[in-house]
Amino acid sequence: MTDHKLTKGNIITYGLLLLVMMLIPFFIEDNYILHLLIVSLVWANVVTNWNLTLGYGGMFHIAQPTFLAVGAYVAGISAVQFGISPWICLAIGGIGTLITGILIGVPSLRVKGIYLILLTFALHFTTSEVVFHLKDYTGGSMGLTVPTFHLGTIEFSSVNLAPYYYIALISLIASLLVAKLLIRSNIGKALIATRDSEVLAVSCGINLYKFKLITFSVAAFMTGIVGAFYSHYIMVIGPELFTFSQIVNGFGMIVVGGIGTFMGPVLGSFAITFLSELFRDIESFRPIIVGAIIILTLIFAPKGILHELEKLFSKTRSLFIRNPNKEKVSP
Amino acid sequence: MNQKMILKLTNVSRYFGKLAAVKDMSLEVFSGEIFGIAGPNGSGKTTLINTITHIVPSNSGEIYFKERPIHDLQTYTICHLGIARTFQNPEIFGSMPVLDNMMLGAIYGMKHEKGFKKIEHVRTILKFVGLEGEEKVKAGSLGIGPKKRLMIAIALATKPQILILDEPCAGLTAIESKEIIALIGQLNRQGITIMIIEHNMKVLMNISNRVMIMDHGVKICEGTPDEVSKDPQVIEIYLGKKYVKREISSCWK
Amino acid sequence: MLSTMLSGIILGSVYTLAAIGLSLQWGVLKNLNFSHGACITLGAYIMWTALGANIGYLPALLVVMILMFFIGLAIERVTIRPFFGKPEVEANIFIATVALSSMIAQAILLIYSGRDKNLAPAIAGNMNLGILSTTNHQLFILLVAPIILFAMWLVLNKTTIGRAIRAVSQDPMGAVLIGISTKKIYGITVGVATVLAGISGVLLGPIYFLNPHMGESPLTKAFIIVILGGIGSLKGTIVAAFSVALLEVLVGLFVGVTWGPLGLFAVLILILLFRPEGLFGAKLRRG
Repeated sequence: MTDHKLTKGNIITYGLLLLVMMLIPFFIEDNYILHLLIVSLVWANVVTNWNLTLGYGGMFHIAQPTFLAVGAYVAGISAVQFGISPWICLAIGGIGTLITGILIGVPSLRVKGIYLILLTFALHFTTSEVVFHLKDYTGGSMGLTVPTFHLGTIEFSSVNLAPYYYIALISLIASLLVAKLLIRSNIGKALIATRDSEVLAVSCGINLYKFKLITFSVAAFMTGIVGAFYSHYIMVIGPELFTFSQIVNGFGMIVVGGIGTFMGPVLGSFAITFLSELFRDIESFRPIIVGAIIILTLIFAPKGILHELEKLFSKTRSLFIRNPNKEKVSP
Repeated sequence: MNQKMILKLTNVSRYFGKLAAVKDMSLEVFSGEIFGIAGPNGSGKTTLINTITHIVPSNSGEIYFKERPIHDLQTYTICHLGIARTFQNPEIFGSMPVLDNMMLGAIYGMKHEKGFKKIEHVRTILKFVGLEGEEKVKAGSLGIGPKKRLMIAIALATKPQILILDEPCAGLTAIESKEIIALIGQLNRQGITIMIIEHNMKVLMNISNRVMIMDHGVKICEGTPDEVSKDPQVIEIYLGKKYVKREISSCWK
Repeated sequence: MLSTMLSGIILGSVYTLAAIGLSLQWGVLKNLNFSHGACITLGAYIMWTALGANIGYLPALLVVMILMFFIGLAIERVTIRPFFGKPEVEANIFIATVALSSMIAQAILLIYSGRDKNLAPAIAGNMNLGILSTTNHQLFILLVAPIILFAMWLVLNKTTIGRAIRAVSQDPMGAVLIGISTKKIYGITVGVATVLAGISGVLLGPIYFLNPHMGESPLTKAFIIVILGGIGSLKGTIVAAFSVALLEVLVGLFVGVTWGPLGLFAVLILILLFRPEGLFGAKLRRG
């Protein structure tokens, strides 16, 4: 299920999953849990886009969490300083982040991969500096209070989280669809081919730079939109969005879910978010624990913990089915 | 012979630090011929190919493809113009099926042909290289012989006018080598210019119209196989000084 | 202006030490160790603890160097060696060392608290050299850095281990064939690089305050230096290090210290757009 082959079984699984996700706000009223789900959905979005560029596209970088923060701030500033409606700010956040992505991608994707890593490290440090500098616009270390959505009679507030949940869910589905389309398109195939043999890829006419730039930009844009959503949801944003531990957390989600698998990072996001809450008392150890999980997972379960669980599950299943070729008899 | 020139190099050099892998190389390849390149290990043959296709840019000199300068173009553009190549080590897209490998070459390599029936084109090539029926096989699981044939097939999928082969027989059995050479001959008869690097001198001399010998990045000798095999410098490189005085042209037959 | 240039030169010396360590690792391991920055921080903090135990400056420095070497061995063992020979080696090392750097930073935060600390310089006090005024510590750096660089040069060129390291960096297969244990060399390389990182931290500490993330910004600069200067080129690394340092202080002087990172970022983008082969790569033909 973490693979991207579309089979009948997969369609049913995805369909059921979607149904469950859409019905959750009807069954869960606890705002605490809803909040965790929303945060998981937001980060699932971020890491899906990160995985698109890192896992499928082979571009190593740490930009995605920074893109989330950029989207949040661009939207927040647009709403606060220029009074623009939060709905439009979603688009503005996306566009602002797209521009940032292009700024990074154009010079660095044409040359060796180390430059992209370098530039995204530099971006990480620069953006938090910029936030402190332009504190008249960004609120500096005090943070920025951001207005939230309005739509007819729907209540958007910190006690009614269901509307936010749906926006986050739709946003995630959009990112997943875009990612899927890209992967299955010729662009996606070209990127995957490049990972097998870059020298053959260029020799048979693949313009790597163009495809990497497209993928990187699309991922930036989608992340910017969810970043914008996040700022209008959480309503107070601050420089803590730019901390390095966000980057490590994001890596944790991708690695646990499985780098380069399609749904892996989504599941990883839920896993890490909920586990972090479970162990909230030892919050200050989180980077150490997540870091250790990342390293151990990479060494012992490089295809992701969920892949290992899947293997385990199918092994135990085969213990109970004596002759898997025979028709299943109804119980 | 009034043949048209398809590839021309003028004083091309490529340095790695202070070491000249290719030095002041000038050569001409004519449309429709088979041009062989030989030389001891480390003589710069592969680097030469890499500079032509811009995998590794040249440091100086000019490269022309049908009168058009290509030394400043990116590899993928050079492919679109009609130059394809294979590699000494089998380079294929291992995680994908054979058909996908080919289709990538067809889709991305044939910029100069639009609206072409790509699947048919690809299937024809697969049949030609003897990989018919292997479309769904994961390329990485093929044996070395089939991998090398797939590599040629991918190159052909880009509909090249000149095909550069880097040691196509390396690692193959005598029978597989014979098959590949026969394939190359057929391709040439269909009009594709061939540039072939090959270590096996007998094979090279038999198939090439003209041959160039390189050593330490420099051209030692160029001409018909007959002319080259009699060149004393060439004999010295391959067999040592004591053979220079002997007439050994019969060795190459 | 002149004092600014002097601080630029001094900063350049420290950056050179950090960058050489990174360059060495890249040359031998063909991968970058992203926990290098955290090691710079770690070196400074270990020094702070050692000095707190009142054992004297040089013994404390020795303690730092020994500890950092073993920490480097451990880093190689845990975040680099397990991935060689397996698929996606670069991706794994990238993510693992990034994760490790965060772990180290957090551990430092927990042990030492996040409050900025002061690291005592080698020799306290200021010095007035006519129109220039500087601190004794900065002069100490000017003295120590070339000594260490020279020692590195000696080791790499005149000792057996050094030759083994150069052999592995040029041709790992060949090195194995002549009996060099590449695993041992990888470990020693990371160990030495980590020692250099630690020393950089000790030297940088008194100039800036100690905080758990102090090594990240020097790390970014070390990257830039390694890329611009070219791998394996000692001369290139040194020139690039001083260029970056001078640029940093000049931007600080004319535009304001706090715009430093943004200015650096802008310069990086411009360089990549117009001259990606770096300042010293032969001007290659691009498409």
